[in-house]
Amino acid sequence: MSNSSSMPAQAKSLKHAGEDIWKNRTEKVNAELFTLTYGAIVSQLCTDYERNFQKVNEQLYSMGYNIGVRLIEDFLARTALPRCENMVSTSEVVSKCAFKIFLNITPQITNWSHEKDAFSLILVENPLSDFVELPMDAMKQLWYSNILCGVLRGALEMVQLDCDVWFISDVLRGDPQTELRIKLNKVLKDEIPIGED
Amino acid sequence: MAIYSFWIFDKHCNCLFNREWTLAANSSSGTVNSKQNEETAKLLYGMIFSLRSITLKLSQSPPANEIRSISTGKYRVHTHCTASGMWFILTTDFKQQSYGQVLQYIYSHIYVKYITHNLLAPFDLAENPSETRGQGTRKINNRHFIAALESFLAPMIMQ
Amino acid sequence: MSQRIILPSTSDEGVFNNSEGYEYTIGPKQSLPNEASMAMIPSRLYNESLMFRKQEVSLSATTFLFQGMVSYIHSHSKSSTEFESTLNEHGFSIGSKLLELLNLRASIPATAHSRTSNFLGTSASSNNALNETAGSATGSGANSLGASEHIYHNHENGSDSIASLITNTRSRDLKILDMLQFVHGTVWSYLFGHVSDDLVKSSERDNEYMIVDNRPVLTQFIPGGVSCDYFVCGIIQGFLNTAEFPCKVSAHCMPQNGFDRRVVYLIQFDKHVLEREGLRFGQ
Repeated sequence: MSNSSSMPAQAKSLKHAGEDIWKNRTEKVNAELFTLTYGAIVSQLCTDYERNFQKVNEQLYSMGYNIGVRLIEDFLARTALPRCENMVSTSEVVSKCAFKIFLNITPQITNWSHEKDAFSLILVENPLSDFVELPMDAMKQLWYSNILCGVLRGALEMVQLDCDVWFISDVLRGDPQTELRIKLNKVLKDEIPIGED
Repeated sequence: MAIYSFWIFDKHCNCLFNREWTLAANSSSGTVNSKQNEETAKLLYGMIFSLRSITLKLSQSPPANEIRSISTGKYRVHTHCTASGMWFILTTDFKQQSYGQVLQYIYSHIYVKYITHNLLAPFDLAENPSETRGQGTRKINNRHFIAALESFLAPMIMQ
Repeated sequence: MSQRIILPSTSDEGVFNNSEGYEYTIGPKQSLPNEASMAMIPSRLYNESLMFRKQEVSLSATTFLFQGMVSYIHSHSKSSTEFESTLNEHGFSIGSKLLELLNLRASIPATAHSRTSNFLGTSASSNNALNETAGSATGSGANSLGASEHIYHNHENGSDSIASLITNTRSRDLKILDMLQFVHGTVWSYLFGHVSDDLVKSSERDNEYMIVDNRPVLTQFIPGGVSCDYFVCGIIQGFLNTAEFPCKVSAHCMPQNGFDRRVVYLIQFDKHVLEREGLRFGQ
């Protein structure tokens, strides 16, 4: 990957790579099967945790984490991308490659923090939440698509990026847009074999 | 004989899998996950690790100056390193320059298919900190993985 | 299953359990002052069309999600029976929704839209005769390829209502065979992108039918056992039960011709379904 001075070109090539992999090298299934399966999961959790939505959020997050730590290998195997040098290129990879390849959507990247260590993804489309309407009691507490935060957290951690990931807003709660925040805490150090340090 | 041995290391510097072929005439010869290879695995990892730290320092500007292969008097060692810290390594003779694509194929079509996508296979074999930093001894024993790997590499053993 | 199961949707459950929101069993209640001041949030849901949009996600994302569900249920189940029945319930809730949805979509006439293929409309009937014997795979593979053209329909802002395209609602399937062909053809194509590999009637028992899938999409990466296929069992069962064809569905692993994950879904209808059919259509 080229350095950050050639950002637009890099972003363009990532976009192209993402589209190419989606179009030519990805086995696809009906998005509604995906949506319905996720719906069944969330509704089961709401029952299991007796509509304690805080717990449901946590469970979705941890389910996502366990997916993310595996999904990253699938992602790297298809894209053969190296590690990113900074969060700007991470954001491009996440939006234009990862979201594209797995969910066929490209969230917008926005709201960069001053230090360029945190950004937001605006999900205009979200296949997880198609045909979903939250009941009133869930509207204020449930982050319906919270599994995504866990997936991102797990996947990024596997490439040594310790990040916090959370939802800021969700159209399902009546917000004008669905915004997901990713903030880098630190870049983790690679393990070194005993005796080499 | 073209391929001598194949190795997988994880991000904990542990050898997850090793396969060594001893007879060119027989693709099923040799050892799988042999305990006797543990010392060799440590040396191999150590060599690549040291070399890698040097090459990354030699070239500061991106793209990263990754090792692709190392040649010795009798061997060529081919490496494929993923962003998640996995290493796939093949030792071969001199006939072929690059096994990059072979290693990439093993990663994406065999490892990811049979290990990553397999719910029953743990994504991280190290279960506690005492099994990290090259001290872990757990191995991949999934028979689908081994069978797929054997059938993919068999034609290359004698080329 | 002799009693009729009507699964309440999630939001309904909330109404039952928590008495927040509108309780239709009680009727309108007096609104509290703070509730009245709350802005009404219009749901986008009602503006969206039920028209089939050919939207896709990757197989990987779906199987990862499915496996996430499987491991959650697995860790919360005490026995494999409990695991299978919970997974079955998940599928059931999906299957019972599909009955309405797919019947509605199948009612759209093939000519309704220039880019609308006859996929959902006729694929069930085009999947010719039922095979009386196992193993005689039909040419259904070819059908499924044609079917994957699908309906592509753009419906910005929900301007196209599915109702406006339907002149006659597809008449309800009353015969076991018609119903099963709908599952084998339309439901399978909808879920997995191809019709199922075979639909077979048991030669031993009158009430048993089998749907065969050579390569189950969702469980293809999970080796060994058919426990995870109980999700699809649930979908079939939910679909058929809601259509008033009460039955039990179980999954059986039967490798054949190199398909080592080949799964046979055994559908056992309740006796009264056959009795009804006998009375209605004569034997």
